[in-house]
Amino acid sequence: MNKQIYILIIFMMLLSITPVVDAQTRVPTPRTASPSASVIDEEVDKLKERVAEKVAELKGSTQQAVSGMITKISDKTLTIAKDKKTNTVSLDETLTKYYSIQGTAAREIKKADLAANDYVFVIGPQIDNTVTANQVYRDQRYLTLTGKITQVNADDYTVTIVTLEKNQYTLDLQTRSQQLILNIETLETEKVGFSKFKEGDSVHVIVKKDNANDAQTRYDVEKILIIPNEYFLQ
Amino acid sequence: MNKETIFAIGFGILLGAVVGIVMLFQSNKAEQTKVIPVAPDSQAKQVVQKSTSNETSPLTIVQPVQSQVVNVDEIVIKGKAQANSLIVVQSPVATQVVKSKTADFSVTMSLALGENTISISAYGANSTPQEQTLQVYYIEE
Repeated sequence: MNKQIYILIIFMMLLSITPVVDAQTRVPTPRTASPSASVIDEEVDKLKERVAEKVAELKGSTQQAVSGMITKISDKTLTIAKDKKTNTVSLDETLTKYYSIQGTAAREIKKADLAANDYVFVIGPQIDNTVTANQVYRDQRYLTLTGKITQVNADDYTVTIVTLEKNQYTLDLQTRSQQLILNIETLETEKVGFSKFKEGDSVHVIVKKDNANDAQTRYDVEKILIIPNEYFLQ
Repeated sequence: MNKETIFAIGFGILLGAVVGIVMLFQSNKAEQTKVIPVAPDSQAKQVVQKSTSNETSPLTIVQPVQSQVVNVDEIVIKGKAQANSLIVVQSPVATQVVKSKTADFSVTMSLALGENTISISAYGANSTPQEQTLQVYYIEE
């Protein structure tokens, strides 16, 4: 083929290539004109409404307490810890009140009555990990344990349970312990004797926590509720 | 035109068309929708467990909020769990067991003065419950 033919081929190829043109999106340009006074007033009114709503929300919000075991006491602060979380309690000499929960009454005490390892809950405004205490209440800490009975020992009236978190505890049944079982027919709870305790049953237990013993695995039972395994086999 | 010229023209058009088609596909590639192959229903049932909203609903407590302070000696605990769950609510001063026919449940609990640790458990189809623990503080004003 001669030179003319080559030129013709290249020319035809160029003609055949259709350029792809993407449709362009029209980009709106911002209006640079300043907003009118009425628009500004409208925005101010909206802002006022929002502030009013927020204030009303804060007024109606629920009050919350912070609890923990006292790990450190100083003149103006307490350090309390619970479940690996530490909070600082800011105390005011005149404003902060101290109470001790005793049964059905709260008796006023002094700050000097508080000691390390006491379990307290504090009411007051909280910012991050600091609570400004209005009231400090010394109280008994209870734990709830949920799991299954793995061993029943009639010799010393103990049961061993494994909780949902796979922790093992030995529970001492006392004469004061409230022992209940679920009647699987009526779904009512009934008093039950130790002889009815059996391995495999589900249990819900309330115990008192000894604040000085963090690694405690043996407790006196305050309350125990048994859900017989038969309930789940129905 | 001789035979060679006609052949060259034809070849040029063909080559141009091929190049044009290739470029067209290249430009549309980003806009293509990926088609995920779906297994036939019979196979899908073997690997995907058919579930209802009830079966997967976790235990949630609607009220009260954690660490709430109240000034009354009774509180209503409202929550959601799998329908037909056995709900066990236990605190140092009260124990309640209810069977919830629907996903919503409501239990009234007495409170002791001070901190109330309340355990809420929901037993669904088996003996391993879902559990939540609340602290509610009752203070007389």
